[in-house]
Amino acid sequence: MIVFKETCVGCGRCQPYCPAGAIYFEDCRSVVDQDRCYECGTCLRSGVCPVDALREPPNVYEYPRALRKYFSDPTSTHAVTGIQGRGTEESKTNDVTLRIGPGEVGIAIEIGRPTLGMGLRDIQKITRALARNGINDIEPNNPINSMILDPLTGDLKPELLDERVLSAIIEMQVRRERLPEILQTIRQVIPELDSVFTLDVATLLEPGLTIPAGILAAIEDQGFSWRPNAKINMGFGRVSE
Amino acid sequence: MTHSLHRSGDIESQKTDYVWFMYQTKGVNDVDIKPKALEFIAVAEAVGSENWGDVKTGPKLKYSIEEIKDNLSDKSRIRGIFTRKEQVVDFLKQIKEKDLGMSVIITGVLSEVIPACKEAGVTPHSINYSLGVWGKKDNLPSETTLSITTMCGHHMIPPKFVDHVTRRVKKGKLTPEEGAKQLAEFCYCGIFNHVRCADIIRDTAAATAEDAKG
Repeated sequence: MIVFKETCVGCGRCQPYCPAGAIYFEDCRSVVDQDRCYECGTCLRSGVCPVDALREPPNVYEYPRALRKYFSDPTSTHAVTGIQGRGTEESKTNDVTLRIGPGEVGIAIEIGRPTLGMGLRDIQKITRALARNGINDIEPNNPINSMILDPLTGDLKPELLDERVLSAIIEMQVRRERLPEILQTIRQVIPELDSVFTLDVATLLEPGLTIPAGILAAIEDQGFSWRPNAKINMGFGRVSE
Repeated sequence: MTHSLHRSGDIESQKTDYVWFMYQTKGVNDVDIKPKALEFIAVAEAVGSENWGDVKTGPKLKYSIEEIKDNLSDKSRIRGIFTRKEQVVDFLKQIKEKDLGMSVIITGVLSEVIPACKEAGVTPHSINYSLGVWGKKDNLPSETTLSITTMCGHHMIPPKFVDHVTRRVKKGKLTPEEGAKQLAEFCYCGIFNHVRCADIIRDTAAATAEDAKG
């Protein structure tokens, strides 16, 4: 986002509307820090500017800056996945796709969330750590796959490394027995990161509506624990007739 | 995958916070979804969903229901909130009866949602559970602020704006409900629980007032 300097009246009303904290005063006018801005569009959508001085910059849809918008603006459709948002449908449509099947587990690492955002170098720290441990199971439709230069090293394309986004999700689905090694790898990379991440795991429910005991044991063994809330797919979906 | 999963805060408060989703699957059942979406909306309204929306238009707290309905397309994502377990039970019963073939997700505290499924006669298919937040957590805003900002799954709510609203409520310039509605307008999906948010703001303002007295 940019503030059109000739139009801005310096009221500063837009500043608390920026999730990245990227808008500040300079010479009695609001200015957007182009490095911090994720192009999420929140300030513009709010309609808070009394003189319409907020504008999308001409390069907002140009590669590589366009990644900021695709990963940070939920109203935009991602050019890679063709859906809104940072990840894929994952467990939300698992009753239709059976993407996470019997004996499998889905894992998602969302970097930058909650609220802090992140530079794409943080993603590379995780993809490199996964690659070092021979883990090359990132979901093919996940947009992060298109950002990886070399799956064997986990290196991202170098032109992306200075970009910032609100968050991005590394998604995998693997056999359940591989969960411990992946959680261990994630735990090892935590001290290297400059931002935060959320971690989650998805499985089929077992009879009695219970989470498979082996999954819970693996989580505990690797020093993680699960929170009391969860996202539950009710199993109502089906392929159209 | 993680859009509504990492809502945080006091567990009793989270028991007043349920998120519902209708999901079409890309390339499988994602054509001509509007009639089904309208059925979901009708049930959600009948059950009293306090906020819902479509990310392509916005939440009903900001846009008229008719406008959201008119803009429905195959790219729409219909989702919203409930504040009571009984609403979840009614919603699941009615949607199951309609057998629309779209995926349905409920996010909430497991100790409430699983009994709601049993009461509605529903056997869930898959579960996605949170293993929490990791990394440089010292840079995060306060737990109270996070309990509000995490109710927008895309994190469109600036922590600064939460502080701004809370200050205005403390000064008596806004009611907690008015402040919560302002915050809800940032969340285009319609999954921001403004009812719970008003309670959090009210509690925070009251605690500050007590501190000032003490």
